[in-house]
Amino acid sequence: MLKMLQEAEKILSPEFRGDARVVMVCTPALTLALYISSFRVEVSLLIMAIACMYAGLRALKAVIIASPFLAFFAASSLLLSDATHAATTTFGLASLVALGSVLAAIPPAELSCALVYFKVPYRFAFLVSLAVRMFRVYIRDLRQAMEAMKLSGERGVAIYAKLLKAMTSIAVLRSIAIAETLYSRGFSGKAECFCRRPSRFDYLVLLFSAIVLVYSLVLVSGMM
Amino acid sequence: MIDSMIELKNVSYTYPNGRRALDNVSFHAQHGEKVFVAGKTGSGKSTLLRILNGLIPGFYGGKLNGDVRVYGRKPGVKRVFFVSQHPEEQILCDRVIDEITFPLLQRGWSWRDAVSSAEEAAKRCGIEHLLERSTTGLSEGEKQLVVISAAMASDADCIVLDEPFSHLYPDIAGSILKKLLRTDRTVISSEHRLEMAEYFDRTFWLGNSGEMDSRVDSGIEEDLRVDREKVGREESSIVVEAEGLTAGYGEPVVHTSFEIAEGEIYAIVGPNGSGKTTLLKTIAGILKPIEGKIRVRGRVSMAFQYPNYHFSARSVEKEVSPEMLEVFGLTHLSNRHPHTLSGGEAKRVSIAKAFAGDVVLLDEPTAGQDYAFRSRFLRIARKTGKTVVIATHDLKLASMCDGVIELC
Repeated sequence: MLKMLQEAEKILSPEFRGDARVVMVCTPALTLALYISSFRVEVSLLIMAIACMYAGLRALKAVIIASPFLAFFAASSLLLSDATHAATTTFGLASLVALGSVLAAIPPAELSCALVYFKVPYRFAFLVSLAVRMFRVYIRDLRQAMEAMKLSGERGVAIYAKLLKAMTSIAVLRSIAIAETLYSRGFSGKAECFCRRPSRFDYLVLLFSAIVLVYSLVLVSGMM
Repeated sequence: MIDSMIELKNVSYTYPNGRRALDNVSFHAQHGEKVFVAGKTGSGKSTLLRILNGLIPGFYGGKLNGDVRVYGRKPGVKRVFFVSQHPEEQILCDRVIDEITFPLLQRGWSWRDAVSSAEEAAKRCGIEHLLERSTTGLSEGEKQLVVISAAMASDADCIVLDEPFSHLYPDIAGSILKKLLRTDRTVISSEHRLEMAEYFDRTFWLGNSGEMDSRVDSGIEEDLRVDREKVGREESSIVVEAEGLTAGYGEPVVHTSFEIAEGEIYAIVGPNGSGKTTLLKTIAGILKPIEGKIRVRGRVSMAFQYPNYHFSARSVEKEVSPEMLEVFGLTHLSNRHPHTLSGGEAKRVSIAKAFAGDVVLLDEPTAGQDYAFRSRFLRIARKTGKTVVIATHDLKLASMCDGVIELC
């Protein structure tokens, strides 16, 4: 578990070099494509490829970290349907996890600027980026709390109940402290946002995502 | 010309939960004056400083009685910049440059002017190389420097600092403080390291005066010297042994070798980012050595810098054994919920809890603690007879230990 949290921290650390606006367009488009194609394997594969193009090994690491959840999902699907359906939906979900790692890698500042570009008020966009930053802080808190509890001799399932209690309090305390800082910095919703110019690679990903979406639509119309 | 600009007359304050934090306190500061605020843990220093920029009662609520005027008006965030003691909880942005410019942009500055002011402040704090870095990967000390840079870059007439140097190495803290005090703004700072008071124009005491604390301190130094002589060392009593140890998070940060015998108290010192916490975590077995060997005999326990990681019970008495509560003088907190304690109290409880182990590792145990506790702490540790390893910026505390591991 501790190792998993360490890996999750690495995946969530912002190391993104693409255009946040492109990712924010492509991510829902690709998710929609997967949904309307009814989790077709080739669509999942294409999404996985796009995620790897953007996030590289991080995308695959995210899938590995999510593997216990994916295994649980696969087992549940198997109970409710046949093996083929369970395998394709699990693979589809894995591709969405990989796609999520691309979103998670966007630096919060670029995320808020991209939201402002899409006409979201800065006050709201900033709070979204702050929530993303705090999520990373909470993951680190969770790891450190777990380390502290293991050292104090806690073992087994009991540790998770204690962690839940500790993390609830820590999250509340951190939230109050952040709200205090926002107040004392005179947060008024004013900002300067700069979006980087999309590179050729970004345009290529945008085009590729559009093709996947169109392909899914064609599949659906073919089925009809 | 503005003069006698900050004035609190007969101020009393009660938090919304009914806790009375200040009782009939009067305070004043002239424009440009540098005031050092001293007092024991829980004496109300943080409360006083929060009143100055309007966080109390504006953000916290509660009942404030008395007159408070800051530059002829009600206290507000525009004229007073507040720096608190926990850097992690003051960082709002992901990039250092964004963090320093954030308050300026909120006050309507243009991006160009804000960046120019931020770059100048960062240069004065020696963190210009961090401007493009993500705040997530910074050490606590670096984060504190970022927040102090934001205060320096701001156009506030008064900078209020609540124990801003607890995460900084003394040399760095001293140099930053001198630069901060060279400005013509009013600077009001609280700090437990009383040696810093000499840099300020005057000291304002909340609660008991400092004379008593220094007398206590000198007496304890004598006791500790005697205690230390009594402690002998035998080869068989070595409980922590590091041989050609290289440690770090993937990248090697620490290279060291040392031996610590049973009952000894060792300090790990070094500048910010030198790997003190990394070494503690390696001794604890949380991190594996990259090279070399580390051997530890007995059960290891550790108190982290952020004390709340250790608490999951509903009361302090369920977290810490009654004996340790007694030894650390914390019995009056027995029925309190650990997450409702002040920062200093929570830290003491987490330290007391860590003394359940045979080898006790403490990360900055005296940061944010008053002078009396800092002096008493080593005597308490000695009394328990446990092996203690302390990572600290407190060089005075380190000098009173049995040995020092210096990192660079």
